[in-house]
Amino acid sequence: MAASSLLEIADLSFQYRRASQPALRHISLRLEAGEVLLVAGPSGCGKSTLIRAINGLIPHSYRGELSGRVVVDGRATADLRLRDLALLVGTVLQDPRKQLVASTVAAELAFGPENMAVPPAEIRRRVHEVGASGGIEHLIERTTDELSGGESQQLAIAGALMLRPRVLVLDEPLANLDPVAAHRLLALVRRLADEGTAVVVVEHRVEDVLEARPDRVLYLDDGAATYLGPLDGFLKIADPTTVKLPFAVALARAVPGAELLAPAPATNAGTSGPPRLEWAGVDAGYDGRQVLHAVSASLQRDETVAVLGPNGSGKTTLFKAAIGLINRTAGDVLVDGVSTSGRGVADLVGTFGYVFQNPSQMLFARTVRDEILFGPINLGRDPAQFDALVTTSLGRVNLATEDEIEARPPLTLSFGQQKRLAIAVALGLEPRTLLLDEPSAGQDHRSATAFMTEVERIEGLESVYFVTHDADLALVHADRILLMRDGRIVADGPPLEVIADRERWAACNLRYTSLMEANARWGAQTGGFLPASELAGWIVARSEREAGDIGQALG
Amino acid sequence: MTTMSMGRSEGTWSVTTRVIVYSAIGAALYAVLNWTLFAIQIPGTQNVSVRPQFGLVTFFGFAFGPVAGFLVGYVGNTVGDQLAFGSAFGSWWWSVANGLAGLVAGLFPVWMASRMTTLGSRAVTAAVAGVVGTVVGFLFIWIELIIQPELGFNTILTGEYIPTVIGNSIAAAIVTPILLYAWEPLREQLGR
Amino acid sequence: MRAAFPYLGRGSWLSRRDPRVLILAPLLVVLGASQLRDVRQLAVVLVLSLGYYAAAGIPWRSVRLQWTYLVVVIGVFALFNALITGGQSGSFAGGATHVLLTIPPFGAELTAEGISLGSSQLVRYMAFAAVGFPVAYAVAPGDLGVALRRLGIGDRIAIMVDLTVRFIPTLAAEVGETIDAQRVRGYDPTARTGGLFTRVRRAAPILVPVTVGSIAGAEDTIDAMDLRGFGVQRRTWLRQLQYGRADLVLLGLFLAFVAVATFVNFSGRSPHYLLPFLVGA
Ligand SMILES: Nc1ncnc2c1ncn2[C@@H]1O[C@H](COP(=O)(O)OP(=O)(O)OP(=O)(O)O)[C@@H](O)[C@H]1O
Ligand SMILES: Nc1ncnc2c1ncn2[C@@H]1O[C@H](COP(=O)(O)OP(=O)(O)OP(=O)(O)O)[C@@H](O)[C@H]1O
Ligand SMILES: [Mg+2]
Ligand SMILES: [Mg+2]
Repeated sequence: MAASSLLEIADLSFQYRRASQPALRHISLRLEAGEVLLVAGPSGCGKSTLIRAINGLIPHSYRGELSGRVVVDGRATADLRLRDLALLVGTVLQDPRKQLVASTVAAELAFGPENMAVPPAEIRRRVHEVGASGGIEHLIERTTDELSGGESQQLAIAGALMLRPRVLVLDEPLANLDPVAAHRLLALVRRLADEGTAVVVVEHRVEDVLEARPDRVLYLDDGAATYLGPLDGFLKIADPTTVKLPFAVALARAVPGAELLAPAPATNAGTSGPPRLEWAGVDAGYDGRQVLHAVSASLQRDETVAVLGPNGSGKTTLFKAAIGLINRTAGDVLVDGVSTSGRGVADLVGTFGYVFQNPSQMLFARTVRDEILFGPINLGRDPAQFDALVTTSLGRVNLATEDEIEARPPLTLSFGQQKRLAIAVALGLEPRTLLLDEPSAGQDHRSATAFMTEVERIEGLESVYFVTHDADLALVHADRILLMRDGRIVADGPPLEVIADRERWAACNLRYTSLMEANARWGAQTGGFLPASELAGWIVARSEREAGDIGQALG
Repeated sequence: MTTMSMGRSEGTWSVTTRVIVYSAIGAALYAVLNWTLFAIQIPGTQNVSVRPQFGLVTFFGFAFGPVAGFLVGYVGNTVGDQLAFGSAFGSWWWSVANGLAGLVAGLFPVWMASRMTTLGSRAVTAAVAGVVGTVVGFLFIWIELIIQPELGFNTILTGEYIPTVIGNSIAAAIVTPILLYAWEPLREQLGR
Repeated sequence: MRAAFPYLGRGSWLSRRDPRVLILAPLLVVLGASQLRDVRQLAVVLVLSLGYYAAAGIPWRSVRLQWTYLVVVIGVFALFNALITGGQSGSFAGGATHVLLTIPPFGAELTAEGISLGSSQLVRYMAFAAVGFPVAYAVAPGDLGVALRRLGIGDRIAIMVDLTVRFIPTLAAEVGETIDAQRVRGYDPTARTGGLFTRVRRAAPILVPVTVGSIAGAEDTIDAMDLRGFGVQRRTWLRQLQYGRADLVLLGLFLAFVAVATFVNFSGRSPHYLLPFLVGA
């Protein structure tokens, strides 16, 4: 046995105490100093569980059935105490905000070394060192609650580095970062590896991680390793519906697609009566802090509209102002051509269903059924209809087939299911337009796309307006894009038109994805923004046709 | 090989990381809600009002033990007073009383462990624990007889002890089980 | 609404003092002023306390609401106390009470003694508040835990207090979001209909998601602390505290006040003072 491996996992299986099947099955791998390992796989496949096994939370904090061993720097994690492991393995968890425990950035950095009784002078030295290498020196004096999502992520990583771990594990580090911050983080990861740290990165945005040049990839499915090897090989076999791959990969593996129908119809703007929702010169904000500045836009009755923009640009505020959750200080909001001045939130409930970013923020009832009926009861709807209402609402979001779903406590559903329940709850009020805040947050590539497709199929729903950070998702599903920055709408138009101005796109902290490059190139001919598989199929079909044409001409 | 968790001894009084974090959440919530939620005036009385958020104190005690119960009540009320009044020091004994209510409620699961077999029986016990915790914990405000003798027995009884205990008992009796019903199935899921 | 302790006193003279002084000051003032009954002596304490308060440089606009709330709540309570006791629990020099007016249904009497007693209470509480505010607004964020630690509180509880302060803005935002989320389902948090039980239960749509959601979400926080070795041994603190000369002088003054107040009390020099304008010359 080569004693040099920094991290060695041998035939590791684990089953959580309450679970009916193992979360990890017979995983074996070795990681040397200086290597970057990318761990990918669909939601629930065991990625976070693997991380817990590496940093010792399994078996020290999570109970369950464990077999096999994890050895870090020559010592089995099961035999080490968590505090000794903390000096070897640094961890950044999935949600950075939840792991910030101090009020100020400096105190947050100091937290680990303080627990290890490192002398204050030494801690101070490390704070400056890590602050500089992590690019957060300018934040040191700030309080943690005013950091943006991206800044919190950087701080969490710096906090993990304060104990100078030999192994660094990162659980979906890109989820909250805009592309600029993501680029900085990946460069840091590469540099740490080059300096001799072994790094494990969990991420399903494979396309985005490539920049850190992972040496190897572990692909997990249902707890078992289905691939472990170099990156190139992985790109050849990976399933583009579960992880997000570069467009070139999708293209290389595409099968010829069907002939495209006529170009997708342009927006129906103005074709059918007054707009569903119109902001007319709206100013709005919180406690004297103005967020929206003279915003004007109108969204039609039967459109799908996506709102994109950097963190804190006012996207959520825009929606909240629309349905009167915050007061506007100037301008007006019109719904179906009628001013909403003087009308309360409750008045608009029949028109708009609003789904908040975090579904658990609204789930409180003892059963799913009670949860769906809370709104209708508040509004005094007819109880005779309730049974039918619950069944149809659940059916529309694909929850009806779940076992005993109506009697389950809502908070015990999985995140994805909670999100769908939140939509069912909104649908229970029979709205004509759905407002969705970040429908794709916290979901893997497959569920995010599936989710939007499901929503579009709901009958009786005229329009969907949604906020998202996933540009590809927005561009594929929306008829129209609103681009926001600093509380202003800086672009408004069909997807291909909005992405044409690359400078403006970058100024909104958005990145040009490989799918966008491809669509920008072929868009004029395909007539709209296509998802990767369709576009790849189309391109392949077209080149075959051309090859055929050439063949005919020759023959 | 079966590995049970190591390095954790969870006695009733041990202050684990878990207890620290839960107490901080409970205390912060209690403080915030004291500052935001409306108190509900009981019709026909001038000075009895119900603050539903008081149920947090007894719930945290009941669900996470006497230490958590005490910290949520004591720190939460201190911080809440500091937010609302700018000062929590002039009435520290009220914070202690809140803490003791949580602490006493937190002793019930220890005493009644064998009886609480179903969620229903735990919910009933939780309601009882909330009320008893309140009645007992707030006895502490009688320390005013020493600290502020000019208040007099009658003022403390009719102006403070009775209205507070009525209002808080109602909140504890209703809200403690509601929170328990929401939390228990979830705890099973997290199941560490 | 933004419930939090903003660092309003940043840069002021008091904010530059050792945070332990800011925590001890209100304790000592409570200890001293609770022994005083004479409203004139208490007024002197209030004036001195306000001087201390001014050194924290807290902008009036930001705390206007708290001061108003304080004066109203304490004022009402003092009045209530005056009515219930009629001032008889006070330590006034003379014998008979001076009834100013009688309130019909219960025959409660508003007496000069009662009002004098109430004034002492009100003035005393305002002094408490004046020395209490700086703890919330002039202690740098993150200093509270160390200060408590250095005052003899254990590591874990000191961290718990730091964590509480850290969670307040997050949870306040969450409460606001949840209220919004329920309002779009036709929930009205201010509704005043229904019986008592209905009305208390009406808090559930707010209380349940915020409470249970944060507890469930705490798993990550707990892991993050364990993974950085929290709680296994005596820890160090990055922030080092050292009493400066001004700190010691200030502490000395507060201690001297406690000594004086104790002397005044035990030598019987602080009976309640009957406000002369209430009883005529
Ligand atoms: N504390 C727990 N108790 C019981 N089962 C758990 C626990 N944590 C996770 N599981 C289950 O173990 C499996 C693997 O979960 P894990 O969190 O490792 O997935 P993941 O790959 O990180 O998913 P995601 O991409 O959604 O974060 C899932 O089926 C999950 O439901
Ligand atoms: N309740 C609030 N009180 C005070 N300020 C707020 C509140 N909610 C949001 N803000 C501020 O208003 C600005 C716009 O916030 P908003 O939530 O609309 O951004 P967003 O575009 O939705 O961002 P994200 O992509 O991070 O969700 C931000 O600077 C934010 O800090
Ligand atoms: Mg995970
Ligand atoms: Mg938002």
